[in-house]
Amino acid sequence: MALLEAKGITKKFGGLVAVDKLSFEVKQGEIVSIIGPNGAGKTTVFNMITGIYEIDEGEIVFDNKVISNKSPIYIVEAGISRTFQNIRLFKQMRVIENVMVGTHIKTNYNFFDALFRTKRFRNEERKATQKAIDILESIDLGDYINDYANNLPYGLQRRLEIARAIATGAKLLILDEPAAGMNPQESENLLNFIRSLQAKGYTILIIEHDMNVVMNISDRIYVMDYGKRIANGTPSEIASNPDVIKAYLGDASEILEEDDAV
Amino acid sequence: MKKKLCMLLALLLVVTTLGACGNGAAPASTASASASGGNPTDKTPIKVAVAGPLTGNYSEYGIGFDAACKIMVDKWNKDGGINGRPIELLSYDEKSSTEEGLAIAQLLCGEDNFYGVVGHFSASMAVGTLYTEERVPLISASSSSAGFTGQGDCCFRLNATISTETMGMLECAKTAGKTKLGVVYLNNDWGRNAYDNLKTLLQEKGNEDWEIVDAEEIAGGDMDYNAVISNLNAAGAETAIMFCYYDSVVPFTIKARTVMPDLNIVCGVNCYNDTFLKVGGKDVEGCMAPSVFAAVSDDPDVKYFVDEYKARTTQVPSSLTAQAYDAMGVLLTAIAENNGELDKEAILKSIQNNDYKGVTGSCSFSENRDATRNFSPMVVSNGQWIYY
Amino acid sequence: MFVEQLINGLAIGTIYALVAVGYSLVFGILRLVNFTHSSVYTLGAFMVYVGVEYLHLNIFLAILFSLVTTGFAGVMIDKMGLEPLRKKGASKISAMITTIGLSYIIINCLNIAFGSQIIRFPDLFNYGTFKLLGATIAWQQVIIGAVALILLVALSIFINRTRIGLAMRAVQQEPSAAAINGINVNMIISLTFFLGAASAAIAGTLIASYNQYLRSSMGDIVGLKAFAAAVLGGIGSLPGSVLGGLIIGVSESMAVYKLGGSYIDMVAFSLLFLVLLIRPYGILGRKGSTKV
Ligand SMILES: Nc1ncnc2c1ncn2[C@@H]1O[C@H](COP(=O)(O)OP(=O)(O)O)[C@@H](O)[C@H]1O
Ligand SMILES: [Mg+2]
Repeated sequence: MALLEAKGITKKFGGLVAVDKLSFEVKQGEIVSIIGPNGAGKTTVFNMITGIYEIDEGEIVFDNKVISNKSPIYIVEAGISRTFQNIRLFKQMRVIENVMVGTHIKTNYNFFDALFRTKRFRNEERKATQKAIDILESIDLGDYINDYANNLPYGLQRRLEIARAIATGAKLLILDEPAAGMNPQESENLLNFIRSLQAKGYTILIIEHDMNVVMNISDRIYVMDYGKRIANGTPSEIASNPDVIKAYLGDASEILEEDDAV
Repeated sequence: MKKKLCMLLALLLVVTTLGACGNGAAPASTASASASGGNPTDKTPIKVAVAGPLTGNYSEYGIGFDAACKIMVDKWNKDGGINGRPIELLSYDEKSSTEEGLAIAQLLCGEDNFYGVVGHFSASMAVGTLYTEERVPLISASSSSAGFTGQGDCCFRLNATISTETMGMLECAKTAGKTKLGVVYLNNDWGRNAYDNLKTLLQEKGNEDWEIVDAEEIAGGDMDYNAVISNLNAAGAETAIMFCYYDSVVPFTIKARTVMPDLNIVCGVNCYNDTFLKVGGKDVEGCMAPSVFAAVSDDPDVKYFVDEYKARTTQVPSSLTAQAYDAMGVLLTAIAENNGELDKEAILKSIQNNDYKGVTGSCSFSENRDATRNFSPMVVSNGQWIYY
Repeated sequence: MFVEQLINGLAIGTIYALVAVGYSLVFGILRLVNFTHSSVYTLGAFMVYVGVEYLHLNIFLAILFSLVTTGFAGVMIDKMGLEPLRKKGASKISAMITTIGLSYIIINCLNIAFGSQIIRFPDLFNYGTFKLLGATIAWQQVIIGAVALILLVALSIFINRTRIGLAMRAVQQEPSAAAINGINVNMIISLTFFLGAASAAIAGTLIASYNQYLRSSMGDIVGLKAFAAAVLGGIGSLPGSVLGGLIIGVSESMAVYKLGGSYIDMVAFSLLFLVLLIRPYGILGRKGSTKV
C-alpha cells in the first residue's frame, strides 16, 4: 500500500495551470524521483504536499490521512519533511541548533525552567541535545556541531538541511534538487548518503536534474512536463521511453551509456 | 502674494471643515434674549469674540479664556446688554495652531455687527496686522512677545511684557533670599527671548542683587530632566528661573525635589493655574510665581469671578484667565461708552483711554497699548497660590 | 559631575534599550518597522494607572494587569491589523502605514479617555539619593537601570537558550523553513508581538514612575529615540538594541553636560546618521537576509 498518494492534484496560478491533474504514489521504503524540464511544476508539487500551497483540485493522502490543504505543521507532524531547492538553513544558528529546530515539536519545560535552569530544563535540554548530536553523527556532521551553518561547505549545507528534516521524526523525506550545484565528488557522496537513508528505513521522494543521481538511486521515476505526468516507470523503462527522450532526455544517451558501463 | 495665497488656502480649509463636520468647529454663541430698555427697535446682537486653543497642547489656556469671557458676557447680558441689544459671544478654537488662528481671524473680519476680539494664543503674532487693517480691536490676555502691540494700533496687551514679568520673577527670588540663579529656558523664540531679556535686565541693574550661575536651554515637555538638574546642582544654583510652560516646570520640579530639595523654583505667570497645582501636587509646594491676580483675594469682584468660574469649570481661574476676563470687561465697557454710536474708531479710542478696574487691577494702557501690571510674589502652599 | 551625568545617561539608556528591543524583535521577524510600538509603550503605562486608580489593584498586580493587557493589545495589533495584510500579500509599505495609523488610533483613544494633560503616577522606587565618587545619584535611577537590565538579560536568555527562543530565531531567519519544521509561525509572531508590547509596557511604567507622571504624548520622543537606538545598534539584533540604547542615553546626558540641554534631541539622530554612514547596518547589524 502506498505511503503517499496524490490523486489528480491541480494547482493554478491565475491562468497558468502549474500542476494539472497529477497522480502518483510513493510506497514505503522506496526512492522515487520526479523529473522534468524547468518550469514543469515539480517544486509546486512539493509545495502542495508540504502545505505551503493550497491545492485547487484532487487529494493527497499520507499514511491513510488526507493531508491536502492542511497546515505545514499538521503535515510535518504527520511525518513528512523536506529540503528546498535553494538551501534554507537557519544560517546564523549553529549546526546543532538547526537540527534542534527540527526536534522542536516535542519539549516539556517552560520559561521559568529555562530562566533558572532547573533540573527539568537541564534534563530536557540534555535529551534534545543528545538526540541532535546522534543525528549529526549518524550523517557524518559530528565534527561541525558548533559551527555556524553559514560557514559549512556547500555540500555539507545540503546534508545539514536533510539532517534537520530527519530531526522532525519524518518517515518521508522529500528533497528538492539536493545535488544542485554540487561537483561530481559531492554528488557521489550525496548519492551514497541517500542510499544509506533508504537503508535506515526512510522513504524518499526526490526532484533531481543530475541524471547520474536519478538513474542510480531511483526505484521508480515520474516524468512531468507542463504540469502533466507524461511517463512513469523504472529507470531503464524511462530511459528507453521515446516520449521522455523527446520531451526531456535529449542529451541523456551518454549518461545511460556511462550507466551501462558501470 | 504668497502670504495672501496661504491665508486663502487656510480659509478654504476652515470653511470646508466647517461644512464637513457640522457644528464641530462652528462658533458657539451665548446670546441672551432677555435684553430690555434702550432702543426697543434694534435687538440685533452685538458680537464680540474669544479665540484660543480649546484643543491641543495648550488647551487649558484657551478653555480658561473661553470660560472667563462667557462669564463676563453673561454678566453684561443679565444687566440688559448694551443699549438694550444683547451681546453675542463667538467662541473659536485655535487648536494650538498658528494657521488655524489666522483662518479664524479671517472669518471674524467678515462678521457683521462685530466689534472686537479677546485672545489668540498661538497666533497672536500673526493676526495683529489683519485685525488692524480691518480696524477690529484685539486685546490679548497672554501675549508677552515684545513685538505684539507693534503689529498695529488695534492690538492691545492686557498682559505683562517679558521685562515686567521677569522683574516679577526676580523679585520672587529676592524675596525668598535665594539670588544665585539657574535659568532654565525653552529653546523656542519665547524662551530665548526671555533669557536674553533677563541678561539685559541684570546688566542694567549692574548685576548687584542677582547672579546667573547657570543657564540651561531645554527642549521641554517629556524629556529626562536629570541631566539638566545635575548641571544646576554642580553650578550651585539656589533659584531656578523657569522660562517654560507648566508641562516642563512640573516634571522638572518633581525631579529636582529628589536631587536638589532646597532649590527655589520660580516660574512665570503662566504657571499660576489650577492644573499646575493639581498635577504638581506636593512637589510644587513652595514654587513661586509673580501674579497680577490672586484668587484668594476677598475683593467682591474677584470673589464673584472666582465663584462663578469654579461653579462652571470646577477649577480656580488662572492669572491669564483673569486677564482674559478683564480684557472682555475692557472691550464691552468701551463698546458701551459710545452709546449706540458703534463706531470702530471711537471704540478703539475708548479702549486706549480706559480707566477700568478689573480683577487683575488697573487695566489702563500706555501709549504703546501695553497695560501696566503690578506683580506680587505668590507661592504654592497647601495646594493653593497665596501671597508670599 | 561626569559620573553623575554618566549615571543619568545609563539610567535613561536602559529604558531606550528596553523599548528598542521591541522594535528589533518585530523587525527581525516581519522585516517591518512597527510604529505602534511607542503608543504601546504609552498604553502600558496607562494600564498600570488604570489598574491602580480604577481597579484599585496594588501596584504589582497593576503592573501584571498592564503586562497582560498591553501584551494582548500587541497581539491584537498583529492579528487585526497586520496578519490580514500578510495573508493578502500586501506590501511592506502598507503594513508600515497601517502601524502608523494604529498608533494614532491608540493615542487618540487614550486622549479621549484620559485627556492630554499630565497625570500623576506613583513613584515606585523613590529611596532618596546617595553619594558615589562625589556624585549625587538617585536610587530610582539605579533601580530603574537594574530592572531594565534584568529584563533584558531574561529576554536574551529566553531567546538564546530556550526552545521557544530557538523557534523565534528560526522564524526570523527562514520563516518558510521554520514552518515546515513544525514551528507554528503565526503563534511565534503573536508571541513576538506579546513580548515586544510587554517589554514596552514595562519600559513605559518605569519611565512613568521615574518621572512620576504620564500623559498620552509620553511615547513620542522616547519612541523615536528607541527606534534610533535600534537602528544604531543594528535593528534585528538584541545586543545591538541594548548597545544602541545605552549609547544614545549616555551621549544625551553628555550633550547636556558639555553642550546644553537643547542639544538633547539632536544628539541621538546625529549619532545615528554618523554611524550609518560608516556601518550601514548598524553597529552589530548584519546584512540580514530579506527573503520572506
Ligand atoms: N507562487 C507562484 N506564483 C505564480 N507562478 C508560479 C508560482 N510558483 C511557481 N509558478 C509557476 O509555475 C510553474 C512551475 O514552477 P515550478 O514548480 O517551480 O517548476 P519546476 O520546479 O518544475 O522547475 C512555472 O511556470 C512557475 O513560473
Ligand atoms: Mg523547481
